[in-house]
Amino acid sequence: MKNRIKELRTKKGMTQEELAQAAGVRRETIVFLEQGKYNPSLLLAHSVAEQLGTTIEKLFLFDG
Amino acid sequence: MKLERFKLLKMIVVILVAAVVAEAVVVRSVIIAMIAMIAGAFVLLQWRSTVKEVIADERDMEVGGKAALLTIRIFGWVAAVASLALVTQRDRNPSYMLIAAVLSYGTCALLILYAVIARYYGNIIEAKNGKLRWIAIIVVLAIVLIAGIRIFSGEDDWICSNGQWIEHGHPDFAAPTTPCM
Repeated sequence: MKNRIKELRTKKGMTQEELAQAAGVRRETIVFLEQGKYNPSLLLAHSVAEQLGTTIEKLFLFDG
Repeated sequence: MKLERFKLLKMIVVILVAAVVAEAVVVRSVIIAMIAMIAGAFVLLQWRSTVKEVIADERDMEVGGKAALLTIRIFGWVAAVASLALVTQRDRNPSYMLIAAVLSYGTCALLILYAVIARYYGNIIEAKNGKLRWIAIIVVLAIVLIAGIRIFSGEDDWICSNGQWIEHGHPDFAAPTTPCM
């Protein structure tokens, strides 16, 4: 599953650490999310989308 | 407290507790070891509660869960095979029986505890967090009690009587080599 986390985070001028703190996770989790190596829970996906001012559908691109 | 500072302090506490436990083993004092471990755990829990940053998140839980499941499966199989091997070889060394019993009961305790906690998280057992803790404690205590009775009951043992080791029941092991007085 691809996502636009890095793109939207950069556009918002946020660091990985800031996004992690805002979403209530560790920075490493944001790194893995951006690399597409971790599929978040619905709760975390919603939280990250909210912090980046978007929706889950626009943030995560389901290619299956 | 900052996470990095907590990690450093945790390492220092673990080293200190390990040193005290090692010393307690040398002087054969269970009390000192228990006090050191409980005090260490208490101090770490207190410090942990003051850390504002996230120590572990959902990815850590997922990774930890998968690792724990695989570890338990591997350990369960290894312990079962090792116990069986030790029991079949008890004629070579009678103490193999005791090692096999400790290994078997320990593994049973681990698997039962895992099953109870897994059922709780799978919403099969409905219990509040506090109740889960009590269920886990009761299960562990029951297994420790059964294992203790089985291993230390003295039903099949050697008894010192009038300066001689006398068979009590049918012990699987040879008479102690220590003098009977």
